[in-house]
Amino acid sequence: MDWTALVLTLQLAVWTTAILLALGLPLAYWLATTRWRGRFFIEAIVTLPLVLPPTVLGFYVLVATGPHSPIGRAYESVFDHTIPFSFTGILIGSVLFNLPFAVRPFTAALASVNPRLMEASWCLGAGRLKTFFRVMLPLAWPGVVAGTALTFAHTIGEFGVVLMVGGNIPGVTRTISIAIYDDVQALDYAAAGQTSLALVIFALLVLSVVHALQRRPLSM
Amino acid sequence: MNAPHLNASFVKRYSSDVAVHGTITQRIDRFGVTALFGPSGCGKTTILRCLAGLERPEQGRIDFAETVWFDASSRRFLPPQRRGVGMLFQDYALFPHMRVLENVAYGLGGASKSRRRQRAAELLERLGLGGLEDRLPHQLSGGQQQRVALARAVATQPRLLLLDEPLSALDAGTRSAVRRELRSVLEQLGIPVILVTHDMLEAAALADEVIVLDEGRVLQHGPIDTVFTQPRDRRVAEIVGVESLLAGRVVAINDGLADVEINGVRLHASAGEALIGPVYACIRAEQVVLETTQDAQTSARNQFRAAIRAISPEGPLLRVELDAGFPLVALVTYPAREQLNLREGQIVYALVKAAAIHLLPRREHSSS
Repeated sequence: MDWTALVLTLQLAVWTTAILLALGLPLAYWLATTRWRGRFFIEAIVTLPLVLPPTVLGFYVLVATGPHSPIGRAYESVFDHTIPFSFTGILIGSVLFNLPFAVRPFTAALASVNPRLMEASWCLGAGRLKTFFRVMLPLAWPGVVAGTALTFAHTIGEFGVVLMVGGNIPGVTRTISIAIYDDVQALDYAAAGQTSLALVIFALLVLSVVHALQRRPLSM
Repeated sequence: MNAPHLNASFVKRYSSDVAVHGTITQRIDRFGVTALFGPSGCGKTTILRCLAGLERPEQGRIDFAETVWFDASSRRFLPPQRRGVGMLFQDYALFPHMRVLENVAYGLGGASKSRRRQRAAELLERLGLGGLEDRLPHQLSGGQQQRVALARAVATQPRLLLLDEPLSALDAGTRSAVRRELRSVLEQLGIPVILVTHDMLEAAALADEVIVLDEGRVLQHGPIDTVFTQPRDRRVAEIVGVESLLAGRVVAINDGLADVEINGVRLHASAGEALIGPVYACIRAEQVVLETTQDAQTSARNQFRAAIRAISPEGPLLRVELDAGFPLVALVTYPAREQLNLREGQIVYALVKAAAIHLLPRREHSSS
């Protein structure tokens, strides 16, 4: 078991999930409540990472944040290293790649809340923020937890994007899935087997929790 | 206008040819109930939602005393949070994850948490809901849910109450009981009310003024007695549902037969429940039979001597407007008109069976 890789992977998963909660919930709220006709297009963009090969996404992250890009140059001048082949790089790739895994369940959960409840809250004087935290989130929490858990688990299993953007730098961008790949390449099937089994058990646990939570919608 | 009013006149569009024109004026310094009345899809709920701030019209203005709630020309729009209205939704929209007390206390701000809960508990007690504080909404009966939703809406001391079909979610049995109580509860609360309904019984039981709507437009408005008994045109009469709707009093009931007095004329109507006092008598035009001479053999309990005021075509039939001491409408076929040689000014006899006259309880209005 490559503990460095495991710790790195967990860090990546925690950060990705935290960022997607902070950015994904507001986006999901907007998608769930807006009446804008152009909504379908934003939904399509959010879904894109689901259908694109991870290498495509990784490629675009490389190009957009590489040392020759404006973003890359600005970052390098502050932090003294490039975005690609760093933890920051794989974090950006990971956030983009997991966008649909967070936003889609969040949106579905928030959209399942009876809009009359929100309207009742507004008529009682509550602003959108209070309405979100006291009415929508408590009623949508199974879906939000499911999205969070899925995002976390999915990040653990990432391979393509991380490899493209991060290379395979031990301690920096060598996540557990890449470590397994390396082990197989080095014919160390025992190590690969151990790590793989651990991941399967973990994934099964998470998915079981996610599905168990699907049965709990509260409605009137 | 010196007294403070709600003054609304606006247009809400849904597409190029579907629009709702809302026009309402109501005094807000005293209690009064106005019903927005009409068939489904006529736009009444849209108007209510625009008043609440849940929809934004395209044109017009809504003023609440000196506060501008909406003004299309200056692009002003006050969101629902700032309007101080209490809204009761058709399905009550109680927060399912909060207990009754929490639901009612939701809109209360300021003060400490215990103070808020105390106020909520007092309100529940006042509305006869004491003891239900810790229940969850799904543990309440329909009637209780409605009361809790009402308590929640008035807890914030709104200046206007908006009720969306307040009785439609109740089953028929509960509905008649609640219908009777709701008016007195609203009177006690003393807040001006605008409600939406398609049910004539509901309007008659709860409202003082009525605004009749059809296809997005106001057809008639005024005190409920006037509008219901003197519909301005056929469409309003159709929406109200009866061609002849008369205000009268039951003076006696014997064996399921009620003696009703209308404008000094006696009618006999079948009375299902024991009704004494003010009533509406509904007579459908198809059930009025006309004869040129008095009929001693008829089994119809009512025979009125009447003068024909007007005859006009109505689809395949003819509509005959009569004055029998009270306004009455009959429908006759063209052959019948020929046979009886009906013409304006003629005296005829209108026969109506007792079973064809339906009685509805009516609230006495000091203004009528």
